[in-house]
Amino acid sequence: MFKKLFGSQNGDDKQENQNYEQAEASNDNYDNEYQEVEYDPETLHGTHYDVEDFDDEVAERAEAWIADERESGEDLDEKDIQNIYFNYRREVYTEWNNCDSDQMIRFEHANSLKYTGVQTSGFVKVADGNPFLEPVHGIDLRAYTAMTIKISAGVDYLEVCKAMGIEPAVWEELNTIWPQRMAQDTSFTVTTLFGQYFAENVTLPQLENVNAEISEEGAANLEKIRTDRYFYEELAGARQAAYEYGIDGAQWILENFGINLADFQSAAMQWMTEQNQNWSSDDIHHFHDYQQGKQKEYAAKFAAEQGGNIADDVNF
Amino acid sequence: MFGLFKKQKEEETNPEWYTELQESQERWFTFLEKLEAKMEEFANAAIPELKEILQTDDDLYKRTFHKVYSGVNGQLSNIREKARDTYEEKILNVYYDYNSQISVLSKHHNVVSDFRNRCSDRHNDFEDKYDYWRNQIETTKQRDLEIEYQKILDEYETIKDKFHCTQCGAGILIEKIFLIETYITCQYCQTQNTFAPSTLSRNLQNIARDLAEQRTAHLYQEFETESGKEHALYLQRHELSLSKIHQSDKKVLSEIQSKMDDLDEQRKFAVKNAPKLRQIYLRAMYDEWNKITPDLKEHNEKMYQNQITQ
Repeated sequence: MFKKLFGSQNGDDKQENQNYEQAEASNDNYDNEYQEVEYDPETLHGTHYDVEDFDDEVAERAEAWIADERESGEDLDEKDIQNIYFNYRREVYTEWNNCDSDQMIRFEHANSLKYTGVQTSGFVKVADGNPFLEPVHGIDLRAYTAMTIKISAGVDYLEVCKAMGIEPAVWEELNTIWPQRMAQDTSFTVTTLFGQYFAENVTLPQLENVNAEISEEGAANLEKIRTDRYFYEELAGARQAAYEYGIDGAQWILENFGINLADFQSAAMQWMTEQNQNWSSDDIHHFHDYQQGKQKEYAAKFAAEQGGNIADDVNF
Repeated sequence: MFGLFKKQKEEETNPEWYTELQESQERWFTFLEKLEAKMEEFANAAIPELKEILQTDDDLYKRTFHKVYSGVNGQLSNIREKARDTYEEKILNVYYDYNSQISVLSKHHNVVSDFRNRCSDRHNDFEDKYDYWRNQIETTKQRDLEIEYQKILDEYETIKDKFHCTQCGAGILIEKIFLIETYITCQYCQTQNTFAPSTLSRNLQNIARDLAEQRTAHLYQEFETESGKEHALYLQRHELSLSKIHQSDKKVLSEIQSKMDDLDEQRKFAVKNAPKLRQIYLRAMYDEWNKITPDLKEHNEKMYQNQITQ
């Protein structure tokens, strides 16, 4: 298994040295002609090479390793092979673009469908004629999402059906078939797209006058969680803390900030998509810590309201 | 400072800061004991109450139960957090402090690392207890879905021949448990009627999979046991391989080797057999599921195909 790593000890010295020289040479080259790597906006591949060459290089390295493993008697299944390709893809990408791991993750997100068969929110690619996206009773995924948003915001489904001009029985079928497609689709295209539409808060002309009641304060808070990431993280932390104190967090947000569950989830999806597109581990840690801090603050508040936590009297 | 540069003789006795570490360790042990007692007392009170709430919660989605359940878990995690924070503040910080001042070459260095190891082992024991109670609380969620299924079947029996055509009033037989609102044509006047199933029978699709899993749990268990064998057999073989290191008797060595080969065979068998058992379980579970909700069969079979190729 470690044959490759220890190859130089088995008389492979010459080749090792050549590799070393090559590496040195290319580093020199890099130093002399330093320039910012330009990325293709769609694939996030560096524009200084062909995608085909990249895939070939990955395949070459991966296949060599696979052959080596098999020679030494390892049993490799499909998953192992996928992992080997996955790792070499990272290696070659980082090498060829001389980039950090954040850029590498952004690249993986942008190419997740191509390389792993799974969509990533913010980078959904839809092929023509995908049977999972065929409209059901004339209602496409976008329209279905728009209806779902209204209903989860608290509008009666009968009212939504009336505005759309469909029978309630049809809605029930839509509401069975679309979720079934989401479950069946192993590329998660339907689910991811649904989430993206949800984040965009899509609507239809027919539904524009069908709205859940929202207070003035609620509308202002809603605007704020969509534009102010800190405020969103604070409410997400508060909601989590509420659940831990036996309070329905979603209801608590509605009562105290006037934001309903649909709008809250929509904002959550929006920030998640944004995070995928502009992947930065520093930012992720920063906001994670901020949310945790807020969760603790609210937990203390809920605990005080409930007369404390059960282990408050135990001290070190 | 810390007696590091004193003479050999003094090094043999315990350093003066030894008592401080000892005191911290004792406090830590007592602190965790108290937290464990709280946890036990709390869980013992909560478990019967949760079971009671689940029984009496008439809500289809058991919302009251879930609220209380998550509140109970919240208190438990609160205790765990308290232990973690205290460990960091009162144990790890003290450890780092001394560790940075006492050379690894000092014969007292092991006092510092022993302190950390004992406290960390104790913390792990606490975490195990936390997991135990967490699992105990988790079991309160379990409910016998056969009872709920029976209620749905009983209701269906009473309503199936009580539906009438809105136009001509003829009786229309409800031929199966419908999961959603459905159009049914009157066979006498051909009017399309809308049949709306009750909330209870609509809920069938929410419990169907869990019920099928409940009915095939023994097969799942067989699969789980088989997939756990791989690691256990590997460890057994590894231990034998270690025992060879100091063995020179050829006869004993060959005995060990043959045992190792045997374990390896068993391990290879388990690796190949586990996926088969998984498939047996999945097929049986989906068959049950299809029996409970035949309307979902087409969809479920696609899900099954996805799952076995994963």
